Amino acid sequence: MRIAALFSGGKDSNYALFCAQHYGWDVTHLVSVFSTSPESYMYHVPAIELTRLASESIGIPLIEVVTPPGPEAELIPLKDKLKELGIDGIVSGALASEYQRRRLDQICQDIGIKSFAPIWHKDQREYVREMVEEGFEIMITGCYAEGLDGSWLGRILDENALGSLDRLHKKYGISVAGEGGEYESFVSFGPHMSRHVRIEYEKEWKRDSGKIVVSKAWLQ
Amino acid sequence: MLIKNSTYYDGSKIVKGDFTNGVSDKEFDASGKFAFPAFNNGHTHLAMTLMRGAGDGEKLQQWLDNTIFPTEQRLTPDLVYKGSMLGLLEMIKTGTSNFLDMYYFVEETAKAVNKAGLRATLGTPITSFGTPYYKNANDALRIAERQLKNMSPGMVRYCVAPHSIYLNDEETLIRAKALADKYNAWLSIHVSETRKECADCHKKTGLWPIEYLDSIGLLGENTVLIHAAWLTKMEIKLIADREASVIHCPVSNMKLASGGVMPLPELLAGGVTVGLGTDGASSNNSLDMREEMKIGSLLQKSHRWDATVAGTRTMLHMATLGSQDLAFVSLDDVRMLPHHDLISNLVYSGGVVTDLIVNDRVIMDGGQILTFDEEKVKTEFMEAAAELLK
Repeated sequence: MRIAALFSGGKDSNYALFCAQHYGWDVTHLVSVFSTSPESYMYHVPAIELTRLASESIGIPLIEVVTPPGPEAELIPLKDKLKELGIDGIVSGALASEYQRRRLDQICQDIGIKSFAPIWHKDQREYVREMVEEGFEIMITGCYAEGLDGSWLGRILDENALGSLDRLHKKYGISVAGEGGEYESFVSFGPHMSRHVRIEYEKEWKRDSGKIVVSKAWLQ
Repeated sequence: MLIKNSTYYDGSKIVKGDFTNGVSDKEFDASGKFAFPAFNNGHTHLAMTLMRGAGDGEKLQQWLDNTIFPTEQRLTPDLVYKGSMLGLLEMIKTGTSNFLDMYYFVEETAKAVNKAGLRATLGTPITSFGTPYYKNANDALRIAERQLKNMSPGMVRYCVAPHSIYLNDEETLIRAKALADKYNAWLSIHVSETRKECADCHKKTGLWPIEYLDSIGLLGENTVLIHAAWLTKMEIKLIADREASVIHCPVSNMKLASGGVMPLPELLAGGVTVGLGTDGASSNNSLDMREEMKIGSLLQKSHRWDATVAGTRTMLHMATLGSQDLAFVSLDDVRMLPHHDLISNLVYSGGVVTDLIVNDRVIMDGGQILTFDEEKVKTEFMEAAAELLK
């Protein structure tokens, strides 16, 4: 089974890729979508430039797709690119968003390939905990929800951070997995990677949300 | 034995008429019956019938810690014998004549197998911790060697069965393989059943489980890898290169929510021998290979979005690897009608197994077990199960 993994560098796409690799499938490409929109409808923006380093560490070539703004327009270049890859299907990190999954399923249907989502509807809290236990280094790269202040930017999820997210879930109802867009993440290391992605960054905070601005990144 | 008036599957096509199975000149009238190779269950823990239904619905680790491990500490030879007898009864009733087992008090299971008249390859589950059966891994290896050394030609064979990477140290695994090689026996081991197991192995050794086993010389033609639900393509190649075999346990993997799905098409494309197993009756919860074929086929199709994979012939082949025996279902069984495709009926629809012939001997005839008293076995089993879980 030849598969392309939709890859943002965040935890969900990394774990979907990891699952596909351990299904015994041949993951031939990582596909990252760079939207010219400041607020992408489907793919998160703040850390996407790091995907090139992550791809090198994972050892699977990266295909970069630049899309214009707009929820539907974004999909056209992605569909065109997937059609060229000679793959049987894609794997995505769709977790709970019907919006994201339906659109991916539709473009795959259009071009006659399969659309796999290994973490779809899994228990979000458990899934993030398992990732941390399995050795994934998940860094918070953007915060967009009440309760997540600037101190979360650049934080690596560990037992303490997960406990804090549980408390914030109780208080504000935020998703521990960030599925509601509460936070964005970047996986700087994991069992599927050969080297750590190291990052120097500044924090950029505006009113009640913020993100990291990467000044330097390298493989260690 | 001459099987007369049968409709039978010869491994490639359905044939009608008489055929021979075994060397005796006895006759068996199979009029109105469909004969097929009896099942070979590639992975069981037979006496776990005693724990069927206990702790169902718990998460894997809780289930093991709260139910299975504490209960197993109370096992006795007598309980294992009675649990094994019931497991054998179920196997006969569902058309299985042979199995590869991993459980404690192996001598008791051997006694039960000989009583029932089936075939088995039995192995002591070797772990680093003590059990009521042995003090430690060293002791378990000594027991395994004794079984291999005293093995005589017959229906019961022995193998070496280190439980897993995570319940054994490296030295024990290496010694287990050396023992299997010395006696030209199988080495069976649980591997890559859960993501946690894979991640833990990778953290500890820097290698994925199959890669690790290969690095310490555990993979060979006599290695039987149980579960292999989470494999990378590199690991698939290693299994193929070393000519190891794999046993797929789809029902157990789904029930315990292992999450992974053994990459059957990739393994078969690599020329790997793949069999089917039920696992123990506490994680399945039956020992019925017909269910295993059906659910295994459906799992592969669903997982891969591909109706062409894991077809009926493939599943029957996997469920009957090396079978020398015969099982029968009635052609008039409601689930065997109509007769467009009898193999498809057998795999997806089923039908009650009426007869079983093992090693030239009729073990079940028209639903009647000839080698032991079915009711007595059930009565004794119920008392044993109650005693174990009281």
